[in-house]
Amino acid sequence: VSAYATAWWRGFRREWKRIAASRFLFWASGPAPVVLFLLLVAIFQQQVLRELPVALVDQDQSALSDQLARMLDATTGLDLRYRLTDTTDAEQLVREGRIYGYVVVPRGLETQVLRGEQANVAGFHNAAFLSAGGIVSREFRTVVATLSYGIKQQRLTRLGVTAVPLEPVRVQSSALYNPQLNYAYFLLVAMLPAMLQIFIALVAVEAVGTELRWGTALEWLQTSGNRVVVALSAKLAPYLLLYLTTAMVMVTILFLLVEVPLRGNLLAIALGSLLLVASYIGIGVLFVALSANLRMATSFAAFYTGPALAYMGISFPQMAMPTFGQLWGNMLPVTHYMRLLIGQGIRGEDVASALPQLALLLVFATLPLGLATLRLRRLARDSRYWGRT
Amino acid sequence: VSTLWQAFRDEFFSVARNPGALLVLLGAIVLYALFYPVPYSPQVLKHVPVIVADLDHSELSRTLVRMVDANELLRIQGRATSLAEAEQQMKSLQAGGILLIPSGFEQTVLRGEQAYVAAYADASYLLVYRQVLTGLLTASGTLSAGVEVQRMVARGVPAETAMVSRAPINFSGRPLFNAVEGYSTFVVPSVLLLILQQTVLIGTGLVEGSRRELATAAKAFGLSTTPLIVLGRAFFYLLVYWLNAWFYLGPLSRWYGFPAEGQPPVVFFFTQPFLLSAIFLGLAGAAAFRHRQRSMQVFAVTSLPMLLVAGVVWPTELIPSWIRTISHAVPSTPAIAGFLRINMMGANLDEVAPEYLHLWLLALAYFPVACLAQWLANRNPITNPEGPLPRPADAPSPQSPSPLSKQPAHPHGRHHSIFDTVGDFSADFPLPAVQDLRPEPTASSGELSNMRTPLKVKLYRSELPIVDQEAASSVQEAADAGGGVLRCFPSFVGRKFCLPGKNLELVDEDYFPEGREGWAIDERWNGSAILADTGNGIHGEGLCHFHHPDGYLIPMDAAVHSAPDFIVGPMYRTLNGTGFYNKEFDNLYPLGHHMHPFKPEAYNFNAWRNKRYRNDCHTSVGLMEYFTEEMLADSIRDFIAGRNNQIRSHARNLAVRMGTGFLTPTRILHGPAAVNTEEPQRDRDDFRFYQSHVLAPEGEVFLGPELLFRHLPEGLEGEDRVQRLVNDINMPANKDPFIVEKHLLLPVVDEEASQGGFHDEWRVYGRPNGDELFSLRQFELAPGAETILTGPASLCILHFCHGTGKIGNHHVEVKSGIRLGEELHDEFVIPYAAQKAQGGVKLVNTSQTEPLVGTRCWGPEAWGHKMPKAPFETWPR
Repeated sequence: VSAYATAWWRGFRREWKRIAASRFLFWASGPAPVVLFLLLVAIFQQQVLRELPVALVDQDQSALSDQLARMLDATTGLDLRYRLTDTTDAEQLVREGRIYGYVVVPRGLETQVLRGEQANVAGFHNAAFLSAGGIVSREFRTVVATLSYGIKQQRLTRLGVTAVPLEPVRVQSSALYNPQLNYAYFLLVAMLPAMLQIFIALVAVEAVGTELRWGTALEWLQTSGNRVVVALSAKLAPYLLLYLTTAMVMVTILFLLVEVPLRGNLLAIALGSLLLVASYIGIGVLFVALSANLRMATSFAAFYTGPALAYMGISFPQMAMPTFGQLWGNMLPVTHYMRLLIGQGIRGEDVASALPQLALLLVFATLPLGLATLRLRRLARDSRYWGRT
Repeated sequence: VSTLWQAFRDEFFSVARNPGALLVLLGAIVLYALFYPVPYSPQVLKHVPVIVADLDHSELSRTLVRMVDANELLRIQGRATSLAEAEQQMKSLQAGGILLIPSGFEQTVLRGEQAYVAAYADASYLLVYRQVLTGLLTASGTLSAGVEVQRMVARGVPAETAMVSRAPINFSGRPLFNAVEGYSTFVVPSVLLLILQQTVLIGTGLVEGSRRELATAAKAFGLSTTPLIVLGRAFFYLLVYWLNAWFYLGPLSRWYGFPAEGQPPVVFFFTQPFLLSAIFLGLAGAAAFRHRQRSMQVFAVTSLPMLLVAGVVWPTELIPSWIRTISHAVPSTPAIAGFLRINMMGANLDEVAPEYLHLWLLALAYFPVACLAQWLANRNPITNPEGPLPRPADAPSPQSPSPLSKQPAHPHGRHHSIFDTVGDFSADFPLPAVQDLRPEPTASSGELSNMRTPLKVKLYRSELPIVDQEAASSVQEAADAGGGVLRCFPSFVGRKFCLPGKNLELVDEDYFPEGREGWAIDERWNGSAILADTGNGIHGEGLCHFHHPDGYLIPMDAAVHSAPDFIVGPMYRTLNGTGFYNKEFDNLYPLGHHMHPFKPEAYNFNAWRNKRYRNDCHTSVGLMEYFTEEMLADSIRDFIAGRNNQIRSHARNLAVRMGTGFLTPTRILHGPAAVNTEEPQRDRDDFRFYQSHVLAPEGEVFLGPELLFRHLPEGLEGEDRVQRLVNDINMPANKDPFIVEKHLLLPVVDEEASQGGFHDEWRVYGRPNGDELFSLRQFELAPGAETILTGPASLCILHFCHGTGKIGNHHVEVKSGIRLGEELHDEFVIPYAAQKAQGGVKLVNTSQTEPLVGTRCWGPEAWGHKMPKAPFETWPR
């Protein structure tokens, strides 16, 4: 046993030296992901969409349209930048990207309202920007409805009716788990792990792939007493440590800096992080083992991890995806990790509900690495697989 | 302009030969375009499952539930009897929300009081939250309106008025540009643009990284030519990306049904600065990548931030200004902002003027940056772990000016062709223009044409005159007279420090024309159009000479360059010569361990040529697996210090078997056995010895470090030089345990040709690095038999090793006891044109007892797919 221990220790030390000697390995195993995490957090610093620029096309020029303008400007979600009289000007402003939408008050609005006729106000929002457009549209609707209620109330008061509710049935809505409707929570909780998994997979590919690429595989094995299991575990251990640290920094950033609520079990999250790191290390190594080609394995890893954010189901929910999308999404460890983060963080589920995710992550953490080890056993010793570009 | 064109062409070849780059520049474009949008393809989130907890069980509450179920955004997944149960179900059924209708709901409404229903929506997924809430609000709004109108109608108000007074101002919201408010339409067009940019950045980086990793960087850039080279390269990528951008913005966007409001000219004009700025940024960044996979790694992790700062997912107004400032440096930021408005909103160039201008500024700014970066990166030869090699341009020319020619055979010096360099080197060398290749006509050639003046020089002791004027017509006359076959005067080559193996059939004393102390005959060259660089002072040494029926000799170099179409054919344009020759190499002792930086080498172990020494011999190849780079460095230090480094004793060994062949790739150490070998090879000479001492009669003698320092750049000293010498050895390939098996060439019989007493088999074949450089076949014709020797339309060198007979109109006789200067009947050349015109030449064995045996040798690209594959080509990967 002590012979294996010394062999393992030699391999472990050799890998630290390799990390120190390679600019890429050094930066990618910690500093670069953290810098990018902070950059993403900075992008979403302002966590709620507000003060989106809009315009009012006022063809009525009445007291009522003035009131609408004041109300639009007072809304936190909107910033009334322009008051125009011509719709084509507003359209142009939208095309130039200066406003996200506009409200058209047609000529004669006030007169119609005073006469008790049905009056119409139209709102246009730029749906090319779905999130901003959605907010603008919602705010327009709310503002006009408020205006409308005000008029209705005045009329009812004039008629002497006071006891009747303005709207017979109302909805009391509650936003579960995320009462502030914080956009940043929900994006960052997915984006940071998505960034992290790209780094882990690429680095794992680089760490093992370069041994084959430059034909140092035999030397690597010999350092660890010619045992693939010893050599591989000694090689990957530094990355497991480095990325576990990085993952914990990420979790800290999410819960302390972004202030995502932590309502569940931190231990489950830590365990999940460990399994996430191990999963992607194993998958990276498997790519190398399958292709025996550093460049190809890097391509595979980039393809597997790059579009993951789309498949994780955070921006567009998994339940609405086509079957392939759902399957692929479930083939990504990060999907399950994100569910774990949301469950244990934002939703405050009990620890038991984290078990399915942890179990799946455990499969991802062991299966690919096991398969890769079996194949590397042959690959690393056979010079036919070395030096392939 | 030629620099521009050459840079364009080089880049084309770099990409075409780089499967990784092809995958990124073409494959990834298609793959990502199909793969990425899959999750978003349903466009709109509908039928979100909700749980209904109806605690009222009234007519009104059932109406509301029906309305919820009828809403296309929602789908009732489960029903509960309490809020707690609903919450439970929401978790277990993964529903998006809960509608709770409290008990007494209908009563409250009927009393005319304010009634409430409660909606709980999962806000941890915002799109789910939005749809659930919208769906529930719509349903309850409809219900509420119905109740209110009914109530007013009950009071006697007309239904129409009731509708109006319910909502004095009606609001209609309309989405612009993305009518269905599809998620895919929202995010995918921007992602496609980002993919265009990222693949440019990755592709350029990958090509440059490969160039450096494999040390195939072309010549060092001059500062003045750099802009042209950068433009040439950029233009290549621009062409590729015109195609890619057209595919994305045209057919693909239509197929996905994205709005394509943009006018084609607007799209075209806007595309240009985007592509140019991305390409120049790529070329600038590429200079930082020393490995082919690096650009992929860097841009894989930066894609997401680049997408976010473009302002689609998250409005630009909300991004901190310092990040926005940085993001202006990335072409995708203005490009996405601009294209979105052009394609979805039909904006014209005026309306996207700020972005258009921005992109042009970026293109203009990145161009000098790209030039500077490329210049800095290519200023010096690059060192890297794989081992850079001196560029062929640095290698000393194997030719000294022919003393036979009054005008140099190559008026513009030696040109490099694609076959000067093999594999990865080839893309960096230009094809010479055709007119450069022909000798300049002499002013007085008209007067001289009928007076073929012999030169007053001798080949060894030959009395035959040599005439190099009017070589084009005289070589054709000679070929016509020979029935399409040219007979060659033997070309023996002497070497210093070598001891003859005496298998060249010379009389014993002629192996040492200058006595035992001088140089000795070690080699015989066949069909060579180049000179041997031996320094022996023999006129035309190594060069082949053709016999003319009028009794004089035509130097082959003059013939080749004055009648290239006749002798070499179309390949001359590429090769600027014949591209190959064959030699017999015959040394008494094994050679020291050495390698060839640029030319692969092959051997035919021919039993007919080893009548004297046919004992058990070994050719050393490569290095054993335990041999580390440090050990190699120590060997080199020993060599420099004059200590015997014995490196050959760390090699693997090929036990030589007569009747087989072997092919040694470049940068592989090898020490040929002490046998006569026939070596078809490229027409250049480069080698470097790594073994310090070689065997001689007096024991092991030191070679001297100049044989180690060959083909090194100027000014390399000390440990740098040692490191360079180590790097030039391809260690993984040298240590390959199967190196012998991979390169051993077992004979392959040509069954089709072998019939009627004729036997023909491949001895040297295979394409090192994918290039067919040379090949050799050995034939045997039975006594009294005859055949037509067929072969590809290509220059062919014939060398008989046994028997008597006839070829074309020539007599064939292989003799022993040759005297230097004697003319022979065993070596022939079949020019390209004759082979092409006749399809074959007649071969007759006139002996009734002895077979007629010989070898035929061809140069680059002669056989194509008809040549068998060597084991190193078919070895499993």
